[in-house]
Formats: sequence, C-alpha cells, structure tokens
Amino acid sequence: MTRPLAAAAAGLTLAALLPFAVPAYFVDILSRVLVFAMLAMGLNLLAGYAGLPSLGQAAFMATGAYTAALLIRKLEVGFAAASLAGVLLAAAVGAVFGLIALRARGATFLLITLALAQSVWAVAFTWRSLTRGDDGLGSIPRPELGWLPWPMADARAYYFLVLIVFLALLAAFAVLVRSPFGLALQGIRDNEQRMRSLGYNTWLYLYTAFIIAAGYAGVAGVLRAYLVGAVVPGWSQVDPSAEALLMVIMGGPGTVIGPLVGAAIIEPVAEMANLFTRHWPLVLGALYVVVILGAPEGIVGWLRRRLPARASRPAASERPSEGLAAAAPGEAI
Amino acid sequence: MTALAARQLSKHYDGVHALRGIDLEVEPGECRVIIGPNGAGKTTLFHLLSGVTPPSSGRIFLQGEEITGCPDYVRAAKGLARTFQVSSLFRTLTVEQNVLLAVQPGASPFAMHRPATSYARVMQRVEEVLEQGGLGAKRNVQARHLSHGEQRQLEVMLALAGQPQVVLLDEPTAGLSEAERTSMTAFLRTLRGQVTVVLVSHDVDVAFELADRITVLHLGEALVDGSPEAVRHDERVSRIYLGAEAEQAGA
Amino acid sequence: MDTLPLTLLDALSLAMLLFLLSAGLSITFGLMRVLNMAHASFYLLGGYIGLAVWSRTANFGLALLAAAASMALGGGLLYGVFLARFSKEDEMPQVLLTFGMLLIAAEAAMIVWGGNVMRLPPPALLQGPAELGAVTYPRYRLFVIAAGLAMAVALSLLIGRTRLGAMVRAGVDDTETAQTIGLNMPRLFLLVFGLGSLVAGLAGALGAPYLGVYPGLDFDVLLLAFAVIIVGGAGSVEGAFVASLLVALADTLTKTYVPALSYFSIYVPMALILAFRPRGLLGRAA
Repeated sequence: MTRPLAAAAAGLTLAALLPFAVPAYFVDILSRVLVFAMLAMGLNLLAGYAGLPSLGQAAFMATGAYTAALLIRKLEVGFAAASLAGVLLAAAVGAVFGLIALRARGATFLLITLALAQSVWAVAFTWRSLTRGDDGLGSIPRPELGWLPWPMADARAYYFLVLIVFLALLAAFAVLVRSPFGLALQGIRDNEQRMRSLGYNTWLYLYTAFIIAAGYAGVAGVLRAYLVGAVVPGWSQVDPSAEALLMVIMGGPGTVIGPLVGAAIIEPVAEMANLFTRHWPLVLGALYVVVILGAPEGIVGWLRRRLPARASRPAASERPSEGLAAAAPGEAI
Repeated sequence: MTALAARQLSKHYDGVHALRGIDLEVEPGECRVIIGPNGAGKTTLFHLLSGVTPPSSGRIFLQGEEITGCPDYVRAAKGLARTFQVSSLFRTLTVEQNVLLAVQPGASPFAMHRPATSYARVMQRVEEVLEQGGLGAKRNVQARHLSHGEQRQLEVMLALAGQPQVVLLDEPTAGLSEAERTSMTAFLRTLRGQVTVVLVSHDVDVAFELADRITVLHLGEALVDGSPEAVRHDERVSRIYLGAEAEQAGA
Repeated sequence: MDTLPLTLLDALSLAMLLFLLSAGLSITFGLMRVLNMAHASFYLLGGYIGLAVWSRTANFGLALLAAAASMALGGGLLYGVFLARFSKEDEMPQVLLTFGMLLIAAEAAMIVWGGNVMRLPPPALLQGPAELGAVTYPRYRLFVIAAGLAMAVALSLLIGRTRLGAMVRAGVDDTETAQTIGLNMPRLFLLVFGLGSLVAGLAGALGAPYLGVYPGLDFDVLLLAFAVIIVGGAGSVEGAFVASLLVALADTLTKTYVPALSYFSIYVPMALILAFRPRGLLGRAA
C-alpha cells in the first residue's frame, strides 16, 4: 500500500511548492484548477460512482457564488457565515432539483439537469434588481482572516486557503466512496435493478449523492467568487458544466483523483486556448469526441490498467463504453 | 403460516393475459418448482411476486404479511430475494464487492464514515458466502470476467447472501454445462429446509429432482399443482409437453 | 384580447417548427436510445446552408432542398462514422460524443458565417399578409403551419402504415427480437437517423425567414426540443406533435402576457409531466 501513499506525499509536496516556483499570475490559475477540481469531484460522485452524468452542476456553483456575494455585499455578512450560507443554499437547490431530475435516468436525466441549470441562469439573468443581470456582481473582496499574518488578497496566500479546503473535500470524498454508501452507489451504477432486489432504496442513495454533489459545487462557487472577485450569470450555463464533465471523463471517472487530473489538464488548456483563439468551444468539443472515442476510462483509469498493481486482475476489455459505466473497482486512488 | 402466498394473481397487458387467477401457497422450507412451456408466464409471475411489476389484480403475502402494495426493495428488505434469468451482477465490481453489497443491507448500508470492509460481522458473512459458493479464489476478479457458470453461481450466491426467508430462483441452471448443472443442483439441494425456495425451470429433470411440489403453468394459468409423482402422471401435463414437442417436430 | 388569435397562430407556427425539429429526435431516441445532441446543429446548419444557397440562386425551393439534402447526408455520416460502433446500451458515450459535435458545429458555423443574425426572406409568393376573416396574419407563417401539418401527417402515415414504419415500431419496442426476425437494424438506424436529420435541416431552413439564424440558435432550440421529448415521450411522432403544441403554447403565451417569466415557460409542462407521468404523454420505448 505504499505506492499510493508515496504518490500522495509527492503530490502534496508539489502542491505546496508550486506557487513559489511560478509567477503570481499563474498562481491564480492553480487556484482555479483546484476550484474546478472541487466542482468536478462532486460531479464525479454523481457521474463516475453513481452512474448519473449531469450537465447541470454549474447551477449549484453559481448559486453558492451569488449567495455568498450578495450576503457580503448587500447585507455585510461575515465571510464564514456567507460562505456557509452559499454552500447550504447550493445543497438546498440541489435537494429541489434532485426531486425533479431523479424521476428519470440516463440521457433523460442529463437533459433535465441541463434544463434546470438553464433556469438558474434565467433567474440570474432576469432578476436584475437582485443580481444586476448580465452585468454581474463585482467588487467581491477576498476573505479576511485577520488571525493569519498573510492577507488573502495575496495570490499565494489565497491559493493555500483554497488548497486546504480542497484537501478537506478530497479526504471526505475518499472516505465517502470507500464507505458502504459509496459502494452502494457503484452497485446502483452497475445494476440499479439488482440493488433494489437486494433491498436498497436506490432513489434515496441517488438523491443523497445529488445533494452532496451540489454541496461540493457550492463550495467551488464560493471560493471562485472570492478568487475572481465577481459573479456573472454565465457561471450557471452549460459551458462550465460541460468542462467539469469532461474533466471527470478525461481524468478518470470513478477514481478519487481523476477530477484533479482532469482539471489540471483542461483548465490550463482552456486558459491557453483563450489566449490564442476565440474558439475554445471548438477545442472543447473536439476533446470530447477524442476522449470518448479513444480513452473513455480516462487517464487514471488508463494508468491503472497499465501498472501491474494486482496480479489477479485480468486486463479489462477495450469497448468504448467501459469508461463511464465501468471505472476501476473501488480503489485507493 | 405459509412462507409465500399469492391469491388470484393476474396480469394483463392491453387485453393480453400474461397471468390469470394464480393461487399459490408455499410452505416454509418447501422447494416449489414452477414449470411450463415458453410464454407460460413464469418470469412474469416472478416479476409480480418480487414487486418489479404491479399486478392487475390479486394479492401477495410474505410470512402472512400482505406485501401487494410494497415496492420491490421493501419486499427484499422483508426477506424476499430473487435471481434473474439473465445473470444480473455488478459487472465492474469484484466478486467480493458483489457479495458485500448483498450482505451489507443487514448492517449499516447507509454509513458514510467507515470503509465498507471494516464491519467485522459483515465481512465474516462475506467469507462464509464466498466459501459456500466456491468462489473464494476469485474474490478479486471483476464479475464480468467470470465464466458463464461462475456468473450463474454468483447470481445465486447474491440472492442467498442476505439470508432471506424466501428466494425466487429464475432458471438457475440455464446455459450451464452438464457438470455445472450437476453441481448447481447439488448446491440447491443443500438449501433444503434452510430457506423456502421457489424455482422456475425449463429443465423438467431438474424440476423432478429438486421439487417438493410442482406447479405447472400453461398460457398464464396454473394447470396442475401437486407432488412430483402426481404431476408426472397427470394427463394434461403430458399433453402440453408432448403436444408442444409434436408441434416442433412437425414444423 | 384582440391579440389572442394572433398569439395562438404564433404558437401554432412555432409548434410546427418545434415538431419538425423534435420528431426526428424522438424517433432516433426511442429507436436507438441515441440522444443526438447535435440534432440541433442540423437545424442551425440547415438554416445557414439554406441561406447560402438562396443568396446564390434566389430560389427558395432550392434552398429548402439543399438544406434537407445536406443535413440528411450529414446525419448519415455522423451515424455511420461515429455512432454505429456503439451498441444500444452505450447511451452515455453517444450523448457526450454528439454533445462534442454540437460544440464543434456551433463554433464552426460562427467561424464561417459570423455572429450576426441572418434572415432569409420568404419567396415573393409567400410574402405579405393574408386575410383570415377578422384576422390578418403573415402568409409565410401560415405556410409554415401548413408545411408542419403536412409533415406530421406524412410522418404519421410513414410510421403507422408503411413497412418501413412497422420495422421502426418493431425496433422501438424490442430491438433484439426485431433483429432475430431478420430486420437489418443497422441499415434501419442509418435510414432513420438520416431522415431525422433531413427533417431537422428542413425545419432550420423553413424557420430562417422568421426566427432568423444566429449563433446560439442551436442551443435555444435544443432546450425546446428536449422539453418536447420529455413531455411527449420518446419514440412517438404523435407524442412529439402534442408536446410541441403544449410547449409552444406555454412559450408563446408567457412571452406575450408575462414576459418576465418567458425563460421559465418550458419548465412548467416539463415539471408536471415528470411529476405525474415520467414516461411522457405518449412515450413508447421502455
């Protein structure tokens, strides 16, 4: 069991040293990678572990962001309370949306999440008196943690705050997917009918996972609002949801660090693409096609197959469908 | 008190009767085999009993308690297990994880804070099931990589792992080789008295080997219901089976 | 109250466009379990191609033909090259792959045709208003209504009365059995996919004169088409027709009388259906 431990230690060291090895502008990108990794992690629970890909996670991110931003700017609420409220409201919206979306499965479920996310965009867009519509909410300050000697306005200081939150969410995620609840989700992914015949109330498991995923997206939204200093309705649209889903698929659905790997690739690529061309959606679309056709189990899944971790496991087959339906069996990473 | 009872169970789709007026009473510890030609309604009956499909009319009782309105997972939680005609496993999970899922519901299936494998009593039961089913050596193999015979074996193990009161076995010997069928039948015979078994089989020999009582279904109705001897000598039964064979021979 | 008949006619013409867009999607989803996200791209590209042909030939009929034919070809290629390799169970990869195609097509269209709203003028014969008793209504929209109804009847007859339709219905109900009795499902899928794309492309060109063609149109109609599929159920032409009427009505009525809620209009029928009849009004595929 030392290989995952060594990898984790190496990753942690890298994460701690990286912000000092790169210019300040790039540190903000690192923070964005972590924020999107949190969004993708929540989605991974739904898509990779429970088998319910969604294109509506961004709605919860936007909800968390707007809630925190509005509480801070309009009601002068403190950061801790505002952040908590943002996460809770995101989870609450998830609780409502889950009731509707989980009347279906598969592609229909995907459609419904898309439509529901659009409704959040519509609220943000039309309710100008509250959200300032398309102009968005700006001037969102960084959290003030007076008891620390470093101001959060400093990119590196904020990065470490984000990193700590990320690690906490990652640890919680790792525990969750290895628990009976996590195993049950995987069972539902593979065969919901059989789970029911074994006595599981599958709807309840999926509903809980949906709310947890929304909560994770809410955390990502709150942190992103502080990072960028502004929120716009576009945060709820299909684009960030689609990016998050691609991060999950590319990184490795049904693995613990897949989302981080996916975010670490897609976010910088998106940044660079936006520098050289206005046509990032074209690149994103092409990536979708390439990944689905070529590597649907994602990078971590692909690595897992190549490295001889366990002698008794035969090589997995090559059918393209394996990726989303069939990630690696509950593993350490 | 009967282990499993059905009263006037019927199911029709758009006017076509899949099942009509089925009465069934299975005693605790009994092995009841349901036979009948294709399309007789055997799997439909299982879907009604396990709660996958709601009946058009009729009532179902488990250990004397009415379960007619209960959804499938509630019936399973009350002790009614089933297998499926086409192996219905958790394909990407290992054999051990498959069994663990089947055993978990008895303990704390909704827990989120400890590893699923950390519950001592649960893992003990998992070991038992793996040993009894003979798949201990394959515990880390993904279910989709098992042979067909091993998959059918795991299919039955999953249904029995939770120690149900009544288990519905849908064609447990389907597609098995001669040797596999023999060992499966031997395995099923060990269940005698421990759990109530209702078994659907195409294979009449298996039926006569295992059954305490046999129910013959034909075109959605229960034609005959009695001891294997009585069924063997029943004229109507030989007519529908020989009649079916004659049709096939002539076609 | 004077505007009500006009509003209803607006709803009807929108419903016909929606129907043309969604009928193909409903059938392919019901038959093949493929939710082709790029279906909306066929609508968009049909509009752009129709426009391009018209601007060169000034012939409206030719523009419609070009839109229909090019999208039929596109659909066939999309299916044959990318989707045929997946089996019916691989729902998700197909959805996501076509989603990638949707993104690519949208951006490619913007590169080629730019970001402005473009409109195709209707042919002289169909320009101007028509008198319907007390109501005056644009002739072109009446044409769209008529075209939609004609297509609805044609599709309904095709599915309900022809051998091809019987094969489609059999395939929707049970693909495995259909295959074992000798139906060439892959060829049928290709045909159905091409037909669905053809109708979508035609709808795009038909809608161009009054909805216009612009970047983002595909996403706007995609959402409406999804609402139609969810409300009407998959696999049914009749379902798509009824649902198109309901969704278009909800959309048009809110835009006219409660514009602040116009973005939310489709959620009411959707939520109601999901709450009470998740399979959709006339859904077929299991």
